[in-house]
Amino acid sequence: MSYQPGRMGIAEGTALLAVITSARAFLSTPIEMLDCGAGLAWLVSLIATLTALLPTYILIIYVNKNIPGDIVDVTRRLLGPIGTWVVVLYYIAAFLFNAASLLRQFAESTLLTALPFLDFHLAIFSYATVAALAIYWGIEGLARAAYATLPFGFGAFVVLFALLIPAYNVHNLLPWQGTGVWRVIKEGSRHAGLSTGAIILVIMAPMFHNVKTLRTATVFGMLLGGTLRMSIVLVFTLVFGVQVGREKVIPFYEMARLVYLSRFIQHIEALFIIMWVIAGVFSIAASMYASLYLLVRLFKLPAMQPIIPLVAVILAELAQWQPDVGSVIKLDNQAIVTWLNIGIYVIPTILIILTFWQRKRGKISCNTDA
Amino acid sequence: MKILRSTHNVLSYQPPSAAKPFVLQENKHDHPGQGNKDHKAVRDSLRQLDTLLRYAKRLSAVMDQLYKALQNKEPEAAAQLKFELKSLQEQQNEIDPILLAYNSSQLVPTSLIVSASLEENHKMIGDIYQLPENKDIVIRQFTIPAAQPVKAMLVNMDGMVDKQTINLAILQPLMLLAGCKEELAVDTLFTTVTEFCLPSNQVNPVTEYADVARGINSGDTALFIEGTAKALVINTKGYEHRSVDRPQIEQSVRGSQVSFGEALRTNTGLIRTMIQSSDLITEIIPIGKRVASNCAIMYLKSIASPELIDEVKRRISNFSTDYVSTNGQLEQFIEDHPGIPFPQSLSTERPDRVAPHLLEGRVAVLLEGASFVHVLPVGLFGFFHSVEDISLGSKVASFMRILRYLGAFIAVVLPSGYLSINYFHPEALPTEMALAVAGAREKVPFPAFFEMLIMEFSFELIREAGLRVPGMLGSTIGIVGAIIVGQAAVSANIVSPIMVVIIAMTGVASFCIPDYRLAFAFRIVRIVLLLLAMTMGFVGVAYGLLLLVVLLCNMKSFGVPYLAPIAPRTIAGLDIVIRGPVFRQERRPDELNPQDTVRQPPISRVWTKHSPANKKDTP
Repeated sequence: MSYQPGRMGIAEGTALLAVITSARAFLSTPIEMLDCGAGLAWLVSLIATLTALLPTYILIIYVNKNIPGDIVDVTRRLLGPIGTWVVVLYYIAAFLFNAASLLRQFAESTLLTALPFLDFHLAIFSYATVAALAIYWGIEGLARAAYATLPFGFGAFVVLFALLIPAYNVHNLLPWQGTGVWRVIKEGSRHAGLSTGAIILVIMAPMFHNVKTLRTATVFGMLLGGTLRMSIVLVFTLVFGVQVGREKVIPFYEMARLVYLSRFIQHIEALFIIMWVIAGVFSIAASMYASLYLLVRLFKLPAMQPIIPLVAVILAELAQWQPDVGSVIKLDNQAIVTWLNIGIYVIPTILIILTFWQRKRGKISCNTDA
Repeated sequence: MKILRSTHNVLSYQPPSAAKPFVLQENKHDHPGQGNKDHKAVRDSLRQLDTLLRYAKRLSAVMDQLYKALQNKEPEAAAQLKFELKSLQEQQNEIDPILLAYNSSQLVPTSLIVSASLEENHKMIGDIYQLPENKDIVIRQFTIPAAQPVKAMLVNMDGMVDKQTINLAILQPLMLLAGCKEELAVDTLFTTVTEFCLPSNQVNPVTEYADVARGINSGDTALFIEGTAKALVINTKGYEHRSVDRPQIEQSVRGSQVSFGEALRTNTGLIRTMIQSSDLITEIIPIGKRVASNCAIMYLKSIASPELIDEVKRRISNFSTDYVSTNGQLEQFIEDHPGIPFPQSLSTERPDRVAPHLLEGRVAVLLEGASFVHVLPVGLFGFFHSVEDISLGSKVASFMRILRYLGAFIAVVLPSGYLSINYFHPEALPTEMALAVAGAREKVPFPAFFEMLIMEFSFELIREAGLRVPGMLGSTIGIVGAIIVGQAAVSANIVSPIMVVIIAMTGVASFCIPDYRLAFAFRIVRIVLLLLAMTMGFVGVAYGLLLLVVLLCNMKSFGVPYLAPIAPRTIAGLDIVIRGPVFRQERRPDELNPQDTVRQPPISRVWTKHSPANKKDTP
């Protein structure tokens, strides 16, 4: 097989999960958060992270601990062959959608901010090609690259947030309770689909040393990605306020544009293009890899490499389905609050219940090795 | 008359009569008749072998019969075999020339074993070394003056041996020393000569011509003795080689001033002078099928991972080529990713740089005739280390390293960054600077990318010319080329001054990278990034950098991840990106899986825990 199990550690898992769950923060997601939570938009983001983390965490410590293997092995054991097909096809579709949606939005952002004269198709295919090349040698390299670049990304965030200090206005967070705490909690829970990638490590569980590594990487990765997303939403609210912020299209870019310290430190948004492009490609590539992995496992293919170009082309075509960026954002937001939540809440809950039931019936013995 | 003759010559031109010029003909193997000749030789050889086998079978059958007859005490039966034996003896006389012809017809005479006949050995040596055409081989025949004089023969390669050693340590004892005369019996001759008559420090008895040839080729002398089916290979190496010199490429202010030479044994000795330990192992592996060169691997037995050592030996022993002349060739044969320009082993000319690596659990690979030693496995960060780092304090060394990383970053990204800003993101520059750049570029008729290509190409030309031109002239050409051509290009409005600044800074920054091959790899990356920047600005640069990082993360040097200990994260010491104090470097690199991971205890400066002997510093 083209993938070798048991080669990734906490660092790789954390980085992979952080990039895949935080990528939307560079797009229009903070504006959606503002719509839902107003002054408490940052809390919406935090709750979305925590509500996605909880079922994933239970899934790992309960299901993965008792049933070794990846998501295909687990579902085959608990749901049988038909159930496996349904669940795995769902996750393939979810990750393909995630990758296509991110691909389209990042390509549109590139056209809007960096390369206004670039052909739209070229932008889409360039992202798809780079993502395909990045995963060609396997997920280990991608995850390690994500880990290696993560400190630079964080450094850039810290610098940007620091440079924006003069533009901070605490009053922009008012009213303190946003659209209401209860509504914020409800909206946060509804937006758990933002962290569709949360399940990615569970999907590739055998690639990790053991369940403890998987668990730690999931917690660290989710919290890291969530914190990053929350920080961007918070700073965005601090800088622009709710009303002005809701009018923006690409919040991160707008924040970078706002920097003005002197004649020599101004308009540094171009320098941050490198950072968000890298984050975008990482997230697209990780989602693409997850769908490819499941395809390989489901159809028992001997290797992944030959179908990478094929899936990349399909992804690029899917990304161009919607007529304009507005439709893409609308579709993305709808998916986040509806069917992407199935992979976060419903399937893990079913798997947890079935594991509990089968353990009770003595069909599964506790795996002490894990 | 002269005019008429000249006119005649011009009008009736005749080509000058000259010998037919030499033209290298096509390979004779292509001729249709050649195959038949080869087939005939093979058929002859098979017929001879068949004859020899028939004789061997007949001899074996008669010997069996004779053995049975003698065992059963049947003298009549044994007597009957007398005629058979006589016939066999006659056949033996007929067989001898066939055997000789068969042996001579073998394609690889070195695969034969040494004969007891001195004449046969002489012939074989002649065949192996193509005598008398080959004038390098010296064959000295002489007689050992024993009770019954024994003929002997010395064979060596002129120019490779120390003649004084041959005269004083081989010929003189064998020909003149009277003490041996009485004791030289034929059956113990070989042992007696080895043990009592040869004062040479290294004498190896061999039985195959392959070993004899290997010894002679490396400067040893082969001694053949009549009646002995063995030869003695005596160490008489004495070829000329460069003496131990100062390092030319990796110069240092405070480090040792010794560099490797071309002689393998001198180089292993230099490393051994740095690590005087019985734990240091040197293994020699001959490489090259047609012309064998000695390749040495050195490691510390109690530290280096046995798996790593086996892998290095496996790779070195398992490639097939005619000849390996340089370390660079050897590297390509054994490295993990020969298609990627990034170096995968550290190449150094300094023994004091090899020694610390061996003590960390790495393996050194040395090649006969190469003045650079490969150290492996090694990661990307190792190429930013310099020998100076070890000699300097941790703060200074760390500062220098950060400077090198910065230099590498500038060398890779500055031109593409400038091009991106110039083409796609001019708003990133302060207004005054953007106006200055635009003003400087106003008179230049070329796009910035073309301008940059011209400058890059010129820079590479000057660099290459400076390398090729010998001595002081090289650096002069570099300086003259850079100043005059740069100035002239700006004056002629071919390039803008800002472009000269960018390229000059890039060039200077690239010289900060200590490893030549890494600098070359970064140069290639720079050109790729330039192309990406030209087409997609910072987005293209981001694509390029991301793929570069992914590529580096996927690379391995002899099974060890190239970006370790960062990606994958392993237990990192204090000598990766920055260099910590020596007394804080307690562990060996984790990614090398050394057998002993601990280099020193947590408190290595034990004296800080003790009071001074005379307690002078107590208040």
